[in-house]
Amino acid sequence: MSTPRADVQVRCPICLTALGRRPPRPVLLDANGNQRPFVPTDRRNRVLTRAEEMTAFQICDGDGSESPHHLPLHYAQYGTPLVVGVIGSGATGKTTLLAAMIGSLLSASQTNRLPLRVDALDLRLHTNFVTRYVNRLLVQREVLSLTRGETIELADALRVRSPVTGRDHAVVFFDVAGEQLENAERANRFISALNALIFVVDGEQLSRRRGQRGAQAAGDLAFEVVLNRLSRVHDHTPQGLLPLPSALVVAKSDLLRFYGDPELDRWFGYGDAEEFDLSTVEEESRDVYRLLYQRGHGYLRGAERFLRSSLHFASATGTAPDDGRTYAAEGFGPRRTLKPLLSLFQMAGVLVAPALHPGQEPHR
Amino acid sequence: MAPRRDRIHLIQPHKRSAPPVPLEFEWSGVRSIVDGLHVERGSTLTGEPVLLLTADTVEAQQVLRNEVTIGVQLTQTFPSFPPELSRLVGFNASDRPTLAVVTCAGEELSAERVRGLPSTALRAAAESLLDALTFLAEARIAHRAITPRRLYWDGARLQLTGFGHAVRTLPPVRREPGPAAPPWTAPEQLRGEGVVSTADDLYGAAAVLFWMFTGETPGEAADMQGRIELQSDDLRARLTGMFAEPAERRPALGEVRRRWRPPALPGPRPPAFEERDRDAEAAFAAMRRRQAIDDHLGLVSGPVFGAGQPRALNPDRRLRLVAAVVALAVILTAVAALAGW
Repeated sequence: MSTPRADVQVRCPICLTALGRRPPRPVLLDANGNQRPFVPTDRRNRVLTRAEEMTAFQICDGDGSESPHHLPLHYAQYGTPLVVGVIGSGATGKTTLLAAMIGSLLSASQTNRLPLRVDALDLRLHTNFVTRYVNRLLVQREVLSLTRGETIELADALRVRSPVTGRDHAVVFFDVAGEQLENAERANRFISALNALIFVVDGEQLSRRRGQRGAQAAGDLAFEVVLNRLSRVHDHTPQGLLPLPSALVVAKSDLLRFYGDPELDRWFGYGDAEEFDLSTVEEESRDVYRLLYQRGHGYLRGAERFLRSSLHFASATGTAPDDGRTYAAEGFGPRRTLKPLLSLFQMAGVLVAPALHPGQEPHR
Repeated sequence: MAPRRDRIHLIQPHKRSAPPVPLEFEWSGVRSIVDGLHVERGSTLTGEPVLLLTADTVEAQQVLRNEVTIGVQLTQTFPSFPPELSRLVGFNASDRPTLAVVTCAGEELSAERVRGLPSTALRAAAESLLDALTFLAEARIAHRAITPRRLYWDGARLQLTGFGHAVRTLPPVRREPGPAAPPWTAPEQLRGEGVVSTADDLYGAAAVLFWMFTGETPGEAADMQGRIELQSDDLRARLTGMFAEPAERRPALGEVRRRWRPPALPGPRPPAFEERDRDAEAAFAAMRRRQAIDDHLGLVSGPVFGAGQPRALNPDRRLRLVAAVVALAVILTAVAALAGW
């Protein structure tokens, strides 16, 4: 797989203003969002300063059309960040899927099952995401509410280190409500800054559409909004593809099991170790493509329009809510949520791994 | 007892906090006793075959309570439910149920029924039994009492019923002598040694498979390997090691599944589906070809405002700059003229 093109100038993902023309203005934010200048306790103590900087932000004044906003202080320090947009409309389960993905990624990194080291790029942002979403989902087993909010801001910011290449990568995630994507034009400038995409298809919708005439053509309006915007920002390749990586995920896939789709059922029959085997991504992509071709052809644009793409089955919880607010402990747990993220990292050059460590459990 | 139509108020496993809902059934009137429970066959008004389980003794109530607990867990684990397992339809009380309704597809797996099955149906039965074990393992449940009596055959697959003695395998629980007896129960389970695991069910399944394919009643584990040696090459290869002692020498469930079902054998589908599936394969290949042709170009890492792409802000800025320079030149010229330079 070829490497990404030479980095272009790092831009603010919210207003697209080029960063780095002047030194960043570091600030600290309190719990209410009030800012004060960041002054290191002891500049000579580099270790302490680095630790303190993890909680600091830089102010982006934008181009005048946006109010000043905040970015992680080290946002542009590791080259062009991987800006991942999680795209899907309505109750596709984007936030739940992202929380399960990041929870699985952190867990795999902490248990040395990945050739990657993952930690916070911005401690405050990351802690907020872990507390509000990851822990509530994976520890307290709460049903997460729909993504809302008027302002577009980063969901989480990670620093991903590859011991193979010795490189650090800033990886940030946008999780924006589907309705917001469809309505707000200016607020959606962040779409232009995305350089990796996770398209989320609602498996529940697919199961409801089973057997409906015309259902095959159905797609997702949020996909179209994003594709349209990206098409205006990026030059297409000669084959008409957007030069970006995309992972298309059929979320809540467990709801589609046992309906006579062996191409889906078998992926849930494998043990968790299979997630670490990226040699099966192509096989799984073909199976997902075949299923969507029959059930929701329109969704496939989330893969077909991109230079690199993979398709996945996943379930963030592996089970249905017990009472609408929480999930029962029995049967609960993310299924196949890590693999789309690893595949995206591999396509984007963040993960360079000749062999992952699938563990002891044979899966094929 | 004559067939009758009945309305029962049941708590549904996926809505346990909701009040019981009235559900209508037609009951056959034919009753039997399994595990101390009274069992009566029937169907829902949509024709789905079900079993009515009732308990009238303390021991039977305990069995029924476990049936409900495991049924609820399976419903939560599999929002879309596998047909290889019996599904809990509802029960009458959360704390001490005395009545429950579960699905049962087809007829009990009797010796007469097995004798009449062609080899393809026998294979399908074996594969579905191993599928049932896989789903139980996924839900971290051990059935512990697999016998032909708890298996139903609907013409396409086996369905495993009777979870009254099943246990959750996480956290680990010690083995206790279960309700099943020789020849269907693993020796270590009979002795109550070690912890409950999928291996217990695998032994029971192996005994059922031996019985289905040979027509012979299985014996003690120590004799079984010798009896397997007498079978056809195909059956011997599939059953080898499944009765071995100690239990650690037996093959894992994944290995047994591979023996019985080589990977990727999709079932028959309608011609229209097959045609569309071929189109899907071709479209996928075409997508990959397009991507491969351009892959050498590589990805971009951010927005590119290149030729032909509109720039939203800079043209205005350029115009303002030009206007400012022109204005300055005019002012300077005017000042120079006024000053008489």
